[in-house]
Amino acid sequence: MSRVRSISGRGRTRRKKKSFEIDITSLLDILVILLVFLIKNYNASGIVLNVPKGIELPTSKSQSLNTSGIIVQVSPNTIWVDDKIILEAQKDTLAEDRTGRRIIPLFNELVKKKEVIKQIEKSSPNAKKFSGVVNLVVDKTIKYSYVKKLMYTAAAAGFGKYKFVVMTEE
Amino acid sequence: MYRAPSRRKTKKEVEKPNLIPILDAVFIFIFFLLMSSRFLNINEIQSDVPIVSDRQPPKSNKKPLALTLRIQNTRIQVLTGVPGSVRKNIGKDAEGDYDLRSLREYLITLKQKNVDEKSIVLEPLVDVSYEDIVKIMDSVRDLNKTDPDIWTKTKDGMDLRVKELFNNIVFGNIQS
Repeated sequence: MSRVRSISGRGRTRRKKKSFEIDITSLLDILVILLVFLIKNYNASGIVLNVPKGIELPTSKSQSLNTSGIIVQVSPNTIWVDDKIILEAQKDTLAEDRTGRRIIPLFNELVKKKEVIKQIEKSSPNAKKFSGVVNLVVDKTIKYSYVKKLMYTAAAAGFGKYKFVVMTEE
Repeated sequence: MYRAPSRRKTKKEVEKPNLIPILDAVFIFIFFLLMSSRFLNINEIQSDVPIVSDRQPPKSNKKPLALTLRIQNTRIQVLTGVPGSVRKNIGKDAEGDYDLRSLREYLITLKQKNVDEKSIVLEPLVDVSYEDIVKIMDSVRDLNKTDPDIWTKTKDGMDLRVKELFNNIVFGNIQS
């Protein structure tokens, strides 16, 4: 029995499109792995703390994190204040005062920061008040004699609380 | 009889792009990025600047503990009282590190006798590394679950388990 098709019917059947399918199984595998990894490392505190290259933090059992205030990062060769380099080559004797206890560029930068915060505090009632907290992000190989200078300089600049930033033991 | 050639022969097959090598490459790329990135669990240890004051200390019948750790080259001296008298010397272990376990055990006994005391003064007299100082701070700060229980009374008369050892760390010699 012969099939009889109308002329209009023939055209429709021939132009019928095949659905375009992409196998996204492997892509989903990747996304799931990525998602699990990112969720595991998600920090809900919203605090961004930059640890510059050259600083290896000491490990600690501490579980508290409430970082606010100025961040001073110290590697064996460089000092940053809020990610801005203020001193390179730590053994620069010109950077210290006569007593050798205070690091002058650090002191000047901290005083500047303090003044800025206090000016904002005066001009805006809703602004954060000066907390006097300094976060010390210090490389673990640095000796106490230098940490002592950092602490003394911060205290002299009007920062009365130190927070030693450490890495949690796994 | 002549028949027109069928159009079926000219019909194009929909080509399906092979995404597998691209996805392999993307996977390796992501893996590489994740491995080379640094995800740090960062925390902090708090310390206060020592306050030098000419004022007379508040009169109290209870003598202050004034717990001080004097870190020397070969030992850690534990001092109490004003002026400080040496209560215990903590040496180094076989590996050349300070015997922080003995220090901790001694501090727990001190805490049991002075439950309300929270302050400790660190006086490193030698140029120890920052890492060693953090280790010492770690051993004096908190009580672990494995440590003996220490209880105190709240204002309401309730029993409260003490979780901190000497959590208020002050560096005593930053001006020297």
